[in-house]
Amino acid sequence: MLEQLLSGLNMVLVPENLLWAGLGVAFGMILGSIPGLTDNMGIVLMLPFTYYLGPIAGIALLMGLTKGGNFGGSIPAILFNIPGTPQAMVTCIDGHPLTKQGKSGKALKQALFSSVMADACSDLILIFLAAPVAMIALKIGPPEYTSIIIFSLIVISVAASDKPLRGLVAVVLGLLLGTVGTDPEFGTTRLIFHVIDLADGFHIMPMVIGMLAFSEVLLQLEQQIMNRLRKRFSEIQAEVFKNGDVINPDYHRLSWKEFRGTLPTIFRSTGIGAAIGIIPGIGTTVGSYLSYIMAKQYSKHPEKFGNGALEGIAAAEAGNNAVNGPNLIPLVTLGIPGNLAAALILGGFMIKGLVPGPTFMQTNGDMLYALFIILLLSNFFTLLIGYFYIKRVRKVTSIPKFYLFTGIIVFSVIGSYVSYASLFDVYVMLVFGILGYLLTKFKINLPTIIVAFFLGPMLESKFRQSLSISGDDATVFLTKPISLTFLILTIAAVFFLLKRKKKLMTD
Amino acid sequence: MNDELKLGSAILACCCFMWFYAIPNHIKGPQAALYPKSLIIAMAMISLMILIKGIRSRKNGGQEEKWTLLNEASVKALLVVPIMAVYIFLIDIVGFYTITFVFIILFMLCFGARRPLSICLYSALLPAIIYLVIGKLLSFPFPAGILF
Repeated sequence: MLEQLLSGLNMVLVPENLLWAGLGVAFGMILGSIPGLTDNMGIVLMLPFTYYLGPIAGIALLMGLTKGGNFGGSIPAILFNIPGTPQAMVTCIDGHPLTKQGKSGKALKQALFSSVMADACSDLILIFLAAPVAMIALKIGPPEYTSIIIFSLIVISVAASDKPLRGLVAVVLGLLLGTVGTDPEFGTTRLIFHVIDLADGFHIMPMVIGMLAFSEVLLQLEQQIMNRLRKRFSEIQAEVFKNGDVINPDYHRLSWKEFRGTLPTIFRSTGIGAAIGIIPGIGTTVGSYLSYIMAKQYSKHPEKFGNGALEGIAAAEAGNNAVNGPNLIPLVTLGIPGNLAAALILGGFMIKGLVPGPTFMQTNGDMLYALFIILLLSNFFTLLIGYFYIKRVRKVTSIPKFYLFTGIIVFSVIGSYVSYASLFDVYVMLVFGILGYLLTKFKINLPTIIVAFFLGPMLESKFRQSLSISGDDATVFLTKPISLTFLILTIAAVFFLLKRKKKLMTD
Repeated sequence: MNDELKLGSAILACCCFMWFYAIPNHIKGPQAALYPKSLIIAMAMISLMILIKGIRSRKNGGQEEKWTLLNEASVKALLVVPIMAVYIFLIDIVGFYTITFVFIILFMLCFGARRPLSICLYSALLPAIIYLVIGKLLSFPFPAGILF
């Protein structure tokens, strides 16, 4: 092992490789901070260039892109309430309120440090636990998937909202929105109302941008008009300006005491994110949101969540980034990509004539260790480049609101359009913006809807697969040990969360 | 009418629409309709629970949250929606960059900007930056339309 590690180090520590890893991080960060342009798009754009690079340099570029892009997504989430990537939507919940208070620098630093720390820990999990964890992942079949998804959805619905019934409304609404499109089993269209563009269902980016960013513009605008009607607008403007960059630069500082306070949240969220990451396909959004909810449950100040809690940002970012390392476990050990980014990275490996799989460790052990070292190095570059990047980029929040709102609208249009080059998606964004605006008034949790929408198609297909392999026997969910464990956990978690909520209310 | 009653009735109305109109007319076959139907039943049950909660809290004289879905400010704010719809509609016809330039001016006026120089500068600079970064550097094509 030591020999392979040294050989890997020898392969990686070449100026060319470091340069490409750094460039990958920087490019990924810039792409991630433009709404709609995700790290996946960056990998697609850069994949052809890796033909001309050496194997290590090519992989360093791709890994840097994923790391940089993942953190980059949180920048517009914090500054403008537009998640740069879908998984950054949870960061909006507490990141943007801090920006409104004139503390965008503090929020961005918290996001950066939490991201890098969780990502590095998840890489270590990948390095040391890859083989045993892959064996567990292999045992997860359709019934287990179904129970895990049910567990995630029920826990989210009960924990995310003060009123559990509204949480359930959000989950079922998200699942219903996920049914629009084509039936996965029969291939017939479903609930598309003769709109052929809906045959593939709603795309995630327009939905996320509409629900979170455009609805926020509408709500803010309404507030502004209301204040103007009450003739208090000038006072409010003066107050916002007072909290802004010019008057108090200390607001942007993140003290060691503040960061230390979020460390337990970061470690807890890393654990949750890593556990989610082991299961292929569940994804970073769920990891991030579950971590956030758990952080709120365990926090000494749950009332601060949603109003700019540093713990909230730490949980969202750590939970999101901790998924990355374990997500690569099925790729490096079994040759199965756990998500789209891993699939694209697999493409990058194959371009270089490397085929990850069970024998990869024996045949290309030094390459595998080189990959691990690149992952850790990319984290270091994310920290370094990110620190300088956020210092420059946060200045844009001090510009007046009419510039910001207009910019948000234009970037919402771009973000919705660029994924599929479809104007229909921009209309979808508009409709979801109005829906988000109305649902916010009814105090329905919007991120819960998005997570349920994201998991809905997977739940349906895994549920159908489970019934199909068991000959329509519904007890299949109770006879598989992992599935049964998660169903019991679901009941226990609901009971515990409701009891805790009741206690908090009586207190 | 309290918050719960409004929400419960709105969801129940949506469930009725889905059950009696959308599912029979827009899903082919009972097998394909099974999953959406079970979700509608779940949603209807939740809405009934919310309604019961609302009725109970009304009877107990619970706190009524005083808010209206649409007030003067919200109607004014929602004026952005038709402007956005026209903007999106014209992107394909006129061209993304030109129409974005025009609508940035409109949106800025809507949001309270009054200084002509800053409005003109911003409306020209933002599309130019988008053109350079996304259009040229990343080679992403936006609809060109009859102009640009």
